[in-house]
Amino acid sequence: MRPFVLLALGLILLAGPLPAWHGTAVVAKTATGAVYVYEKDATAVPPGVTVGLNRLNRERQILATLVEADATDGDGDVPDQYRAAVEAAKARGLPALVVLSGSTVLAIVKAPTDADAVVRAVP
Amino acid sequence: MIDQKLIDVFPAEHDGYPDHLAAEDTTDALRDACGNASREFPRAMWIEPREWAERAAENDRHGLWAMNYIDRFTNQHPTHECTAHSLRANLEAARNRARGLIYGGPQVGERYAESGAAGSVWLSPLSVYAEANPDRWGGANVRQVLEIAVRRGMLPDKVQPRDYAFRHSLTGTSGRGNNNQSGGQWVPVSRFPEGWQETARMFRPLEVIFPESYEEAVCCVLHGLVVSVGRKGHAVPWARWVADQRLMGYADSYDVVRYDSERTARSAWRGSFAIASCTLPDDWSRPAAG
Repeated sequence: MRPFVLLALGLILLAGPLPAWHGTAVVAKTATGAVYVYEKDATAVPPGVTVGLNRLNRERQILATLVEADATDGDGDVPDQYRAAVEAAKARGLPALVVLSGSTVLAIVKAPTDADAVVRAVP
Repeated sequence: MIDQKLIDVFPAEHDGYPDHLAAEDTTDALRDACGNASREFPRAMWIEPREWAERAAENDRHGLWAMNYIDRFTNQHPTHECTAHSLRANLEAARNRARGLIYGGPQVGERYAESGAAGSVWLSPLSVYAEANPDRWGGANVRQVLEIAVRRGMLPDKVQPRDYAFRHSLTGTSGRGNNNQSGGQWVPVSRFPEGWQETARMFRPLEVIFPESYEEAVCCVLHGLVVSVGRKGHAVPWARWVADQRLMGYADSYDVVRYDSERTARSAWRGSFAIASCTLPDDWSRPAAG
């Protein structure tokens, strides 16, 4: 029996890497965070955005935060947790709400102003 | 109606901001002290005075005041640390505002469960005051404490809403303290924990706005920013505007919310500042991780 097992393993290795679909199910990415990115000289954060972020934090258990586009961590770098959001928001134009799954951008909403728009942006 | 006993309170023991120090707190001096962190009042934040009451009502309805980002009191009694306590309220509120979670304002003897879960960090006014005034008594001016905070930051208090495993922390105040602030022991800078600068630099103001008028100061407060101001011997953090009585509310560093009348506020806005943004963590659950 053992030679057959070894032969089978050898054939699998020779065949190369397993196809991407092997052993994985297609899973819709779940939102883990929402970040409103703004530049304070150009934009005062609308009250509705603040209300919406608070609702996401409390009702949806999503990490929902505000970040000024030039904010840094203590080392002077863009904080790791905001890198993808700031980059995406700047590319789209500020202000913007960026919805994330980890560091993957799921959606960008340009300049939301009311709480419902902020909450609806998170699938 | 606000209790009259809470309006324009200037007790004799409020002498941490004496006139000779206050005289140095011009807007130009504060701007210089802040260097690259200094910012003009953003025009985007201007709200016409005729719209203030409406905006205040909206803030009341949804809890959008800076007061709602202050999740604890501090108690400096009987020290002269007021400018540093006002600074901590300003910086903590800026940080909590960025976190996006609205609290119910400071509560005597209470602690919000959300504070720990959301990564709120309680900072030590003593970590700044000890450098601003190594002689302990006699107070410090706004320029001094702001320059120190911008340059090298504030250390976390030994008391936190959650165990963040900070490598460096400090007693919050050499005064009384409370359930959310460690207190009692004076610590000179020479006795700060070794390497403390590594942790302090994680908690710094990045952008500081200097209102050029009473109206601009009100606009900052209406937008949820704390405006730190010194007046009549005592420095306080304005964090709410009461429309019908035109009062500025502040979390006083004596476990109590008090109010300044419009007359007091109009005489005091010069030399005020509002922290618009601050250093933010790479991970809210690990606030000092570099």
